[in-house]
Amino acid sequence: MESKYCGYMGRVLCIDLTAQAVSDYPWSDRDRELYLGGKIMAAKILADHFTGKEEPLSEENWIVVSTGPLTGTGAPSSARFNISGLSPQTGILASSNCGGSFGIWLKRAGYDALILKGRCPEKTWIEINEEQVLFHNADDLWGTKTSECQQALAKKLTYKKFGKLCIGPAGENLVRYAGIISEERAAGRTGLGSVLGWKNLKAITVTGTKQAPIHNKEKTTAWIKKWTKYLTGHPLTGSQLPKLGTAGLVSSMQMRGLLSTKNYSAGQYEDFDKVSGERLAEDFNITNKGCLTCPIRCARSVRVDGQAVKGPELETLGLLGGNICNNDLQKILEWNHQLDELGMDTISAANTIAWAMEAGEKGLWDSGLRFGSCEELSSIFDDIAHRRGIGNELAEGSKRLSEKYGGKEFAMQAKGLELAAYEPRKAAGQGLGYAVANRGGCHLNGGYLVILEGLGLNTNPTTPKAKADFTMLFQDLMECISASGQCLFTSYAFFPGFLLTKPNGIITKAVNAAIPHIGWAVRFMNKCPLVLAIHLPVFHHTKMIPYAVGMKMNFGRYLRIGERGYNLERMVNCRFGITAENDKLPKRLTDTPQDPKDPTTKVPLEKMKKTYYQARGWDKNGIPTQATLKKLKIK
Amino acid sequence: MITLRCFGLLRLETGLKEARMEASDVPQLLKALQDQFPRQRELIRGSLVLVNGKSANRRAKLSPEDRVDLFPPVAGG
Repeated sequence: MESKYCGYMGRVLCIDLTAQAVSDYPWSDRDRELYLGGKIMAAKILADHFTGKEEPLSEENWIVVSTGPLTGTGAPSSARFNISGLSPQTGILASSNCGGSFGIWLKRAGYDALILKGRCPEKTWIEINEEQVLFHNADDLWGTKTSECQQALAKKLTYKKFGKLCIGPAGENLVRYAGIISEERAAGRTGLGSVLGWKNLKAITVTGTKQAPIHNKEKTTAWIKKWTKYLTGHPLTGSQLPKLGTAGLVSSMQMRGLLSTKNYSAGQYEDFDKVSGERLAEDFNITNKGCLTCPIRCARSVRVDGQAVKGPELETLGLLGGNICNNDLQKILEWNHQLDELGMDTISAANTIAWAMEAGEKGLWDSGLRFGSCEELSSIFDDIAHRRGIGNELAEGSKRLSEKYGGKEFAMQAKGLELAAYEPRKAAGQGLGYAVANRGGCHLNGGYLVILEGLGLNTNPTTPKAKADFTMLFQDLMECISASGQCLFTSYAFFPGFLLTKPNGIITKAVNAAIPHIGWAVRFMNKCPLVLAIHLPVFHHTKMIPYAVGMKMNFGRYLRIGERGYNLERMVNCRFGITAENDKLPKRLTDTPQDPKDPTTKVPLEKMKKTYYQARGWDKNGIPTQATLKKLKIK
Repeated sequence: MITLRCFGLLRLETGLKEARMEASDVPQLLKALQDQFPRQRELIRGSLVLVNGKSANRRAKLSPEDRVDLFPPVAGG
């Protein structure tokens, strides 16, 4: 279906794996206006398909790989694509975002998205080009690690330039937190790798020569130049992230009591400096790298076994560092690489290990794992990926293990998805975000309020005041940035640079002091975004869309699309039984203060949830009301 | 002697991980550091100060056994 809008290729490819047949999935310009692309587009496609009775590992589970209208337009940090489906980890709607170039190649083949339904009758890899979709036997690829698989694919194809994604042994063996790998990047979270494994689909390659049309080339080029200059001049996106990567957060989190330590029993790790971003930069980093069109270049390149490989992100440093009481950075680099090779989410894998260590300490389940004793971890990861021995149990994740052996209060997950490395008892808003996030315990889908609560700005971290309203605002903004096809890191430049370079200045202090008292203003903005028919000078996203795509956009419309996406995802989750009861955190975080002398250092979840539901227009059970759905044009 | 620790970009750009310095208050300490690293003057000025692990007033008095941590604000994970 052709589109009047630029940026889009105008077609959605639907692949029936069972019948090995392809068709076009209908997607109209009205859909583009309402759902934009990426994860929101995927949510709409899946909302129209899922009834609430589907099982994650079944033919009825669809996987949607989608791009945004800005993917491939040259907009800053726009080489992103999204993968959505039903998660075997959470049983609800999953979405996982990935860098690399697959999304750009998908568009070059002429598609904005592809849908995978059914199940391949035999082990298969799929080759997509502009003319056809080819199904190849993957017997020889089955069992390969992710880099080995991608190298083998390159040898099979007669052309050199193409995008690819694949699963590793973890996906093949249905590890609940298996990810999907594309080049060195990972759609790591929510276990969609095991859905591909169940569908007997090892890999997809895609190539083509098409280009997404640009609405106004002159304005688009000028705006990209201006935006890139802004990002490279901003202290976060132009300095900290390129020089230290996300790893640079470890020390600051330590200082703020936010660094998950010993399975989140504490927020500070005495050996943090041995596993910090500074040490990574000083002793291990070869260079920083980035996705295509990204001026931020946050990725690290490190040496493992004489080979330059992707370095760890903050999450991996924190969760395979202090959270399991390991101070050996070299080991973390090796495990990080190993987990990517096996195709397994580092966050969930590390959290599951930490839970097992504590369960062993408490005498609930003896897996042999102990805090600080990590010599065998590499072979344990291998066992998990192949579901051997104890690894077969660990492959189930911390939620299911705690249901079997006890220890739910220290299974650090929400809705089945293990938490990121931010210990939220000194960042209440981040705690709320973990609890209510649509995909489960995710720091980004939760709104990333920690950026106000000590990492970035420095507002009162433990107060519940205004946190619910800011959570909704940030969730909706990030939802729409993701749907555009852009990296969420572009949102960090939303904060004017002087607030970060002058944390002790009068204005910054005033902003920090004011934030807990302006919840009402943020609530108004959230309720009536359409009155904000403006473009903000610090938020370049909204002008990029009319210039490149030719679609009307302003800050208010953008926010409304994000809100629509968030509610759509919630509505799908509600079909699968999600209510307020599922928006919860482990008791350790809500009932036990991190600092025994300070009762405010725990997450005041119920209080914030109530305000959050009101702000969202959800009822007391956390279900979007009919009025909310109608307002958002969700049917 | 005060124990000073630098983090984040401040550490990368000055190459200073930890130092022992004489100072009776935070301004004196920061001034000494700025004199030592004039090119990082703004970064030092913009850094958050923790004394013995707690956020400190930038005019705070220091005792010889105090540990001062300096780190520029960071975000994005």
